[in-house]
Amino acid sequence: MRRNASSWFVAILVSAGAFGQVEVGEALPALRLTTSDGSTLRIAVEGGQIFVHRGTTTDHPKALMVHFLQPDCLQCQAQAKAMQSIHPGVAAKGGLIVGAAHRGDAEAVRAFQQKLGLTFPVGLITDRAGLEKKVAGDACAIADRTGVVRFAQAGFGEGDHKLWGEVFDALIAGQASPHAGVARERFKVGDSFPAVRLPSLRTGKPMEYVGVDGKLRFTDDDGKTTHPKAAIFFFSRY
Amino acid sequence: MVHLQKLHEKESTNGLLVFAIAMHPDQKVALQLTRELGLTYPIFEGMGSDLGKLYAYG
Repeated sequence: MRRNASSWFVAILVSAGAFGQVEVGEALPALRLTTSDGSTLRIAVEGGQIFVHRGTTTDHPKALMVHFLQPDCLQCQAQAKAMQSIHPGVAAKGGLIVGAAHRGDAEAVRAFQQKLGLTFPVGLITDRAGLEKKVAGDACAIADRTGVVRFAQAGFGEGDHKLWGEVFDALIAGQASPHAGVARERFKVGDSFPAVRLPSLRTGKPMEYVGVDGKLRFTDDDGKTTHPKAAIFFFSRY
Repeated sequence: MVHLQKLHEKESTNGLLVFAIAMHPDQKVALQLTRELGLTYPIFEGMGSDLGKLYAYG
């Protein structure tokens, strides 16, 4: 069967699934977590203030970041490591980061935290009632001291921790957040995908995928060039 | 990935190119997973690339 080449040209971006819908401007949803050590961590917004209850202690962080995650998601793991990189500095200034798993079990959450060496609290959401549309996939939100979300993000990309640090610094200082989210490119139907000139994962030798004069051209790591009629590609985090 | 591998096996001779841009933080692990899954389509190493920073998320 012959196919029209244009019908083949599809771009795929790997996704962690549906995204959470915590929105900038709304209050951070109340959360109850069971943390890795078996204790309960509760986040609530009451009277225009964030309350983080852990055991017998209650904190009022100057800014709070919640990472909605899935312990078996590699992207979530990469994001948590990036969060860990800013956590000591954030905590020293009065901010707090919390990981909130919405899938998996206590053991998975414990393994997630230990494997990544996370020193911020991570717990399993124990009551998801009313949260179904708020927490899904890999997402995060940063709320100010009043509990209002000032930054929200779905997914994760390299370098995002710099933005989070800037948001934390501003909110902790009582200033407006310099960012409401992460601006990224999205593919749309009709876009031309930029040339890919990167090494082969297998051999380290250069490969190239490019559109030239209306044709696709692919050069593999043996230097062999072909002109595919169409291509499907995706970013893979495995 | 496995389904795309099957598509690659079935349609590459008809002019379809399937390829991936790997965004795994550990290249050795990515390579091992690639072998375990029996993937034979081309895979670029994209970690740290401008392309990855701009487009690989979600």
